[in-house]
Amino acid sequence: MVDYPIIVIGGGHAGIEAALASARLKVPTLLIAINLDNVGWTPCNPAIGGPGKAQLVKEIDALGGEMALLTDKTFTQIRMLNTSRGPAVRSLRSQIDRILYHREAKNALERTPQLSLLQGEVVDTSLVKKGRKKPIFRVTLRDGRNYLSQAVVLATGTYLKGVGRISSYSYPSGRGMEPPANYLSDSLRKLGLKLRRFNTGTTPRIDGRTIDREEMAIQPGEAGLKFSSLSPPVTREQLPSYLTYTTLETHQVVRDHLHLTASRSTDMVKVGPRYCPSIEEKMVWFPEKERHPVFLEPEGFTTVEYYVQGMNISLPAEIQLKILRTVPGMKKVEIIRPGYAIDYDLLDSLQLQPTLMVKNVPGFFAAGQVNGTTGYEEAAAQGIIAGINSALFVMGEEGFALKRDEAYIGVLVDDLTTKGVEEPYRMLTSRVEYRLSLRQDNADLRLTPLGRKLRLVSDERYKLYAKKVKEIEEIIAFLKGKRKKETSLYDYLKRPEVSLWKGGYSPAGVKERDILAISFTELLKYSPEVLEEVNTRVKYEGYISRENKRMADFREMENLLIPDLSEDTVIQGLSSLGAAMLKSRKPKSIGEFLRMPGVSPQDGLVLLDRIRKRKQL
Amino acid sequence: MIVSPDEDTISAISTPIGIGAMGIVRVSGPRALAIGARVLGKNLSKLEAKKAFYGFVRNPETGNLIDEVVFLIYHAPNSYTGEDMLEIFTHGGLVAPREVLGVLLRNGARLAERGEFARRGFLNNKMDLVKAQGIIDVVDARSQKALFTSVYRLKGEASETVVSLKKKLEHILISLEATVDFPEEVDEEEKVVTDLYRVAKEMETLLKGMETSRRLRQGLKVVIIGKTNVGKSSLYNALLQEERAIVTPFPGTTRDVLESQLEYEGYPVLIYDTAGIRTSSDEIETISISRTRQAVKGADLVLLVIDGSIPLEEEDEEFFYDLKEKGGLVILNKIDLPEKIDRKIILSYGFPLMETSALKGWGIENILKKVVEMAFLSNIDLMLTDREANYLEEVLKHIRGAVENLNTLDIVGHHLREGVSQLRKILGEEPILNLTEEIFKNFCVGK
Ligand SMILES: Cc1cc2nc3c(=O)[nH]c(=O)nc-3n(C[C@H](O)[C@H](O)[C@H](O)COP(=O)(O)OP(=O)(O)OC[C@H]3O[C@@H](n4cnc5c(N)ncnc54)[C@H](O)[C@@H]3O)c2cc1C
Ligand SMILES: Nc1nc2c(ncn2[C@@H]2O[C@H](COP(=O)(O)OP(=O)(O)OP(=O)(O)O)[C@@H](O)[C@H]2O)c(=O)[nH]1
Ligand SMILES: [Mg+2]
Repeated sequence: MVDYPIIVIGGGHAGIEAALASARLKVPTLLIAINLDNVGWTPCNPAIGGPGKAQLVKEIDALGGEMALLTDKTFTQIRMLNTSRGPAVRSLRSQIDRILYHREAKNALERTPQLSLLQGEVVDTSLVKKGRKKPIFRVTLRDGRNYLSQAVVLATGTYLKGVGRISSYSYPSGRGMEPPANYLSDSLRKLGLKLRRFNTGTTPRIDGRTIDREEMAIQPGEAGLKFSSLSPPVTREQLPSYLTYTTLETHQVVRDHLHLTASRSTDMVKVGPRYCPSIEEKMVWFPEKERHPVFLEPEGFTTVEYYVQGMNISLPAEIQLKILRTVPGMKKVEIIRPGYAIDYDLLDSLQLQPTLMVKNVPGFFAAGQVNGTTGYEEAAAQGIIAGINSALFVMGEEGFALKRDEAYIGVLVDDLTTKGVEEPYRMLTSRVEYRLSLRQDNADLRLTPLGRKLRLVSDERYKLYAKKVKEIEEIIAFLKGKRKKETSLYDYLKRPEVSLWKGGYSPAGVKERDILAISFTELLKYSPEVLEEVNTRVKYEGYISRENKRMADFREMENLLIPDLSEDTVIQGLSSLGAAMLKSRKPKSIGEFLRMPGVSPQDGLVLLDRIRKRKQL
Repeated sequence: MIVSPDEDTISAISTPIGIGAMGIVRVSGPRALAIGARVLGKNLSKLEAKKAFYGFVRNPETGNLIDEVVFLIYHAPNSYTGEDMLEIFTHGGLVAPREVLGVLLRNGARLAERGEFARRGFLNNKMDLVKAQGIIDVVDARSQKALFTSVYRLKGEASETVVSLKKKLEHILISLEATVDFPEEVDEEEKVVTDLYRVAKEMETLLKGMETSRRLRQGLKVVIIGKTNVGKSSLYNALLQEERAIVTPFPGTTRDVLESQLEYEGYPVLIYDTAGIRTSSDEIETISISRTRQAVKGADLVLLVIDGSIPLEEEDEEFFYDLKEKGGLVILNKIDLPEKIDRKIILSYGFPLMETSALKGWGIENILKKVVEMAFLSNIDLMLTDREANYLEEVLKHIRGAVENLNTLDIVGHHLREGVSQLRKILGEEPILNLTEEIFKNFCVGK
């Protein structure tokens, strides 16, 4: 007998969603974290959402996850980005209160039946009993306590052999001033896992009482927005953030001290996220730029601390101060916590299946930054997938994976597991092939039925979904049945100057709008979300149906399955790269095989031929 | 893409271009028979498979005859590709197979990729890989060779224009993607819009080049016009060095449009003789006139023939509208006779004027030289193969699509992605640009 069928190691965004999902699927789950007072911590930017990430949050929500609800309960500010650039790239972005978010996250865990919490550092995970279906793991804490489980979800973030660094000063750290997990890496190697090392960094936090807001541009939030359809409307007052810019003087000071940066003055690995360069890197990579934006974002309702977005830095603290003081509005600024870099162990994500189970260790799952991503949303998205699959594994059911044509989550997981990552991976809308179809506004329509089938979606959420579907059909039938200017209202709506309702966002440049809801008041009984959804669907119909055709092509390739080829020692005609990929990564389908680096269409044909011949034998 | 998606019906010419007395155009895919039925005007599904039938390919919109053909149908899976197939045997030469292919493409088929018939055959279990590969290799070799041994001297460096267009589009796309993915740090929206407009403008040049290249592939359409009895048919015969058209001293001799093909220094030219237009109530003549109008509509260039031995009439002058619209030359004919015409009036229209005597064969070669110069040599920097032209047309559609949707960047992004991937195909590159990589290379983004 095991103590808990599922043990989740980690209480970050990945661990939270994983444990909630498996417990909600009614499999008793234990979540272990080094410090339960830091569950759901946001060690970097106190922000959730933005392009690529907002879509993830909405998808997690649609599947029955928690992140959107936590965000709605705790944001200090929310805005819609890319408003006039089209629904496919429109993205919510919020800033959250760090402390409140943690509190709500912990509370969500505590409210969930079947979910237990435990504080402690895991130092070992080993297989007591091997097995494809029913393995048994022993999870050992530093003080020697042991727990047996059938499945493990590893969600340890940046903690594995984490080293914090400010210039040449370094200290063992999971993040901030928390202790790292120094023992687990070796135990993972014993399980047969391949590890690697990345770095990342964060900015200083400053005292909001020492800045001059007059010299900065103010960025207020917007009313009436939220992430989850389940959240009640949010009416609380929002906090503004502020925008200022670096100056030539800032750049000079940074340049004068470049040699002191952590990656130059120590042996720290240099595999950091490029989309989030440190101010030092900005000087080297973009020397021609005369200024860089700096955003000051409040860390919460009850603190004076501000996060200095754009100033990711690992120079000595006194130089950080010198640099900040060259920025308009910050002449007298005081730093509360200096910025730092951190490097840490992680898993090579190519070892994972699309269910986030490790290929060679049945029952062992991994999610979050430990798989090579960065970002809370990316972590949470993997968390819910790993949580669902650990539960399905324990119940002896078929795994659940999303595909590139179904969700941003599908793209994220597929990139991790078929392409692999060479630097911390962040979600972006430009990574998504079927961007016009996979929007934040239709995440529920795409995924809630799947979540329902998994039994993860509550009745309440499912009712909202069913209502939305019904109303969309009603409105479309209405539009097709009414006529205006010799066409149906449906076709009339396709014109750029026409829109269904007065709210929402109109495309740039259109001044005079014909708003259908004004003359057809029966439309006013529907909610803005539903009207906006229909608006997009009608206007983008042609594009979406073309995209659907490409999606069908894609699925056809995914459905050409590759059987176990292990007895074929050599497949004649495969390129050497193709053969290597086939052997080491064991793709499940021709489509997956073709996406692997170095594999040519020719390799796809050869393999298909081989599979056919085997079938004929 | 190695698998044929549903509904995806392909077509291509299966005989070497411009060689042989016969052309074969193949269509394969679920809609092969439906598309065939449209252009052949016959229900094909009821016909017996693998048996030759006689028929006419017409443009289904206009009813115009394109070619007289023999065709065979095949039902899936009993065909070369394992799909429904149609094989059309057309007249040989340059024009007929292309026009037949053209009408198929306009009615729902898509131009097959290189070796796609063989690949489909392979995927549908109709042949093994070795055989499929062999066929693909041959197809590759043939199109390579076709490029170099083609009757026309193609200038191989088409790609320079294509490469530069691709670079520009990629750049715009990267700016766009950086803007939508990092809206707080990057705002290149204005630049995207202005650059797109600029590219759309440059497209005009490209279009001209494509036009030239189409002419090279299909023949330049030159239509002879003018009032009755000025010597149009005589000129037609002189250009062809053959007595094709009937010539009489009576006005109104030519009643229908005549077409012939000739080559001048390797450039293909299609010459059309037309009925002289004059005001009349005769019914046959009204029909003739409408045929003439149609020929003029399809012309690349017109030759306006004027009789120099009589004074200029209003009827002559009306033809200058066509000349203005289509471009071309004024041919002052019958210069062997005493001149009665006021040249100043003709010259005042500002078109090049060439003197001929169709009767004596004077000045004929000069006309051809001038025509080729005007049509081909001015735009020679972009010579494309069919395949390239086809992709490029797609690209242009996407640029237009992008420009028409400037107020929604997500749609612009869609068109640019598609356009760039077509261009990359023309150049034989991986169809997908790694956008993320490019954004990080080009923009300073992130906290
Ligand atoms: C310095 C820094 C800068 C960052 N910058 C950014 C940024 O700019 N933008 C961005 O989007 N993201 C940034 N991130 C990343 C973001 O914080 C993470 O991607 C996200 O929090 C990862 O979530 P997670 O659940 O995977 O892990 P974490 O949130 O790191 O949580 C890990 C959890 O595992 C527990 N744990 C670890 N080891 C053990 C063990 N052995 N036993 C028991 N419990 C254990 C910890 O207690 C913790 O609860 C940064 C992170 C850091 C540290
Ligand atoms: N002297 C002389 N006679 C010419 C010349 N070209 C044509 N003719 C004569 O002009 C008459 C009409 O010539 P066609 O070629 O039939 O003229 P057309 O323009 O085709 O006339 P329609 O078909 O009736 O419109 C014939 O008698 C020709 O021989 C020329 O260059 N010199
Ligand atoms: Mg004549």
